Amino acid sequence: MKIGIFSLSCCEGCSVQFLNLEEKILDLLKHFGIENFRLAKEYNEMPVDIAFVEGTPTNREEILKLLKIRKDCNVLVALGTCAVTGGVSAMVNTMSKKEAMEVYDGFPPEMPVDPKPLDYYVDVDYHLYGCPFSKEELMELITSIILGKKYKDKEYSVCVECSLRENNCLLDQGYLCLGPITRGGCKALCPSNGKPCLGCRGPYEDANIKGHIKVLQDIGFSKEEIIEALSLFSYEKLKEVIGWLKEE
Amino acid sequence: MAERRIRIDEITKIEGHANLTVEIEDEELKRVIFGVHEGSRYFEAFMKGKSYIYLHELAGRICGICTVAHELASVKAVENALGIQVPENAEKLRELMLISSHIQSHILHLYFLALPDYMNAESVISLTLTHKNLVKKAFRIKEATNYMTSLIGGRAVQPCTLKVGGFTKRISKECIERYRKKMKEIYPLLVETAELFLSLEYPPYERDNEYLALYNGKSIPLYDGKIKSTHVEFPAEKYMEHIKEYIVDYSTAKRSRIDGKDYMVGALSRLNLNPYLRDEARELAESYRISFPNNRVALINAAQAIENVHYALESLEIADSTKEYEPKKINVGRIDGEGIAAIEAPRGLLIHHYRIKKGRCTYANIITPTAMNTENIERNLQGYLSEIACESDDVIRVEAEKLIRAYDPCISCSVHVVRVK
Repeated sequence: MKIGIFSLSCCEGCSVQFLNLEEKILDLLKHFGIENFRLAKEYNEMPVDIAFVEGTPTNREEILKLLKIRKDCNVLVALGTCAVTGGVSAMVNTMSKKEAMEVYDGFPPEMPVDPKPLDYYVDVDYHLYGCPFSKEELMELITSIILGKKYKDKEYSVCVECSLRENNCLLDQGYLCLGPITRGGCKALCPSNGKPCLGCRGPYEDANIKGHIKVLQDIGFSKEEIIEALSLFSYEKLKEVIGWLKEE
Repeated sequence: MAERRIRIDEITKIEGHANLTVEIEDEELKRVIFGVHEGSRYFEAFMKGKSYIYLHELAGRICGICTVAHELASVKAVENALGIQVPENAEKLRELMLISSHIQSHILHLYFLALPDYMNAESVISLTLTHKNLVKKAFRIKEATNYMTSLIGGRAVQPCTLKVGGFTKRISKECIERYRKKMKEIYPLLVETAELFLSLEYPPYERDNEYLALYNGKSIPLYDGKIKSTHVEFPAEKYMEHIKEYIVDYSTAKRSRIDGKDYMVGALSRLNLNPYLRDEARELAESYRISFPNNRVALINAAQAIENVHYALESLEIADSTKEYEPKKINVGRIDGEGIAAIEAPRGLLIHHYRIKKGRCTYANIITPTAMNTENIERNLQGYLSEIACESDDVIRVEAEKLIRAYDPCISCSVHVVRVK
């Protein structure tokens, strides 16, 4: 089976995370040929069976590149937060076009494109959440594909994993934590390190977002603070509720 | 008249998207264009209005390879802006984290991106077939240094324990001891790596470049120091008086000059400006007849490999003297201010500059190493390729790529930062 690792505009930390599989890559090479990986390879070929795509298009050329990748692969995996939700880049969508263009003194080198999740443009078969994605989940996904089994997203929150690790609750300590609405799978890495969840894995299906907003308001956080936190990684996925909160 | 145009649409084995055009007429070099065509991500735009507690979290997302450097420069700039004192052991732990991430980045560059050029291999993936043990060694060092970074940072890519004023978690003596032990364990591998990269045959091209790096007159600083170039020395706060940024029409990345000249940052600049290599590292280099200062551009690779040895030894000493860290409540003295921080990222000097009003960012300016290096890369390509302009297209392509890769350019960094007026 052939795999490709593709990069649209982003920090390329997910490509680096892929290489951080370290010697496991040598095991992978027993099952897969890495045919396309610009960061590491001189000759890059299409089509591939599985395309891992990190980042998100921020110009026309990249949209065309994404469409071509979709056409030339069987399975497309959105690799990491930028691909899944638009990521931090999507915060530029909270600004007016005029304001954004001022960055280039009003003359951008090309028409800027709003950063969006990949599934805004193409069908995405699997999502690997997180900034960066979790190596364990990548191995789970690859193993499922090799075995021909279905890979399932975690449909529970970071909060569940955090409780299982018996961490002291950061919300109780007065931090703005998004653990209760954010998709699990990271084993609550940040809260376990004393840092509130910033929601880098995006909201999960059954997240009670309005309920959590109420909790945060009761603790004493302002509307602006809550909107800011919700926008950090998932503006594109949460803009309806953010719009609702603004009107509230 | 014989005209040739050599074009590489997408330079591979570098971080980010860049292209190269070389025009040769009658065996004479006419033009070299090193262009960047990656989309911009407007970091400095959306940082505006954000609370100071989030700036380093966002800064880390500028680059996935040097996330530690971006986070540290950002958090330091905020601390400077708000007059926040950081405990000494937290500073040392940050330096340890910076060292392990530097070595990780250098190893990634040396083995995965640069080495294939010198082994006639297409990629590190093809090297796994011919030089499996070498690749395994690279993975072992990378794994170890990632582990060391995550001992302090929680994880290696986008560390999650930094906060304004210190760290979010307790870092025990045992944790520091594990870092020290791991570094000791891989030290022989770092020496072997240096031996390999000191013995490669690099392009001979030399130029008397302007170099720029942090400087403190006693060591090769990464975390703190004045900014020094070949000709001037100034505190980081004065960077705007000397470093000027500008735009060219064929590139989405900004460029920069110091007092009107192109300049180089990175491993070679650090060693050229700071004659304080530890004896072990200096003697190792000299045994391969390489010494610093050195104007041979492609020796950036060798300088990185030598730095690994130097900083590994430094880190052992720092670890020995670092006390455990217990997070305390941070006293934020003021919520308005302006702060500038310069640190050494793996690829060279990195500057973060913020203005903060009522706890929110009102201005952000970030100058990355690759933005500083871009003009120097183009100038040195002109210099080197004009020496070999009579060679075949293939030779020119390969040699140009060798020189570009030596800089370990990080294009993501260079385009993600455009200053808001």
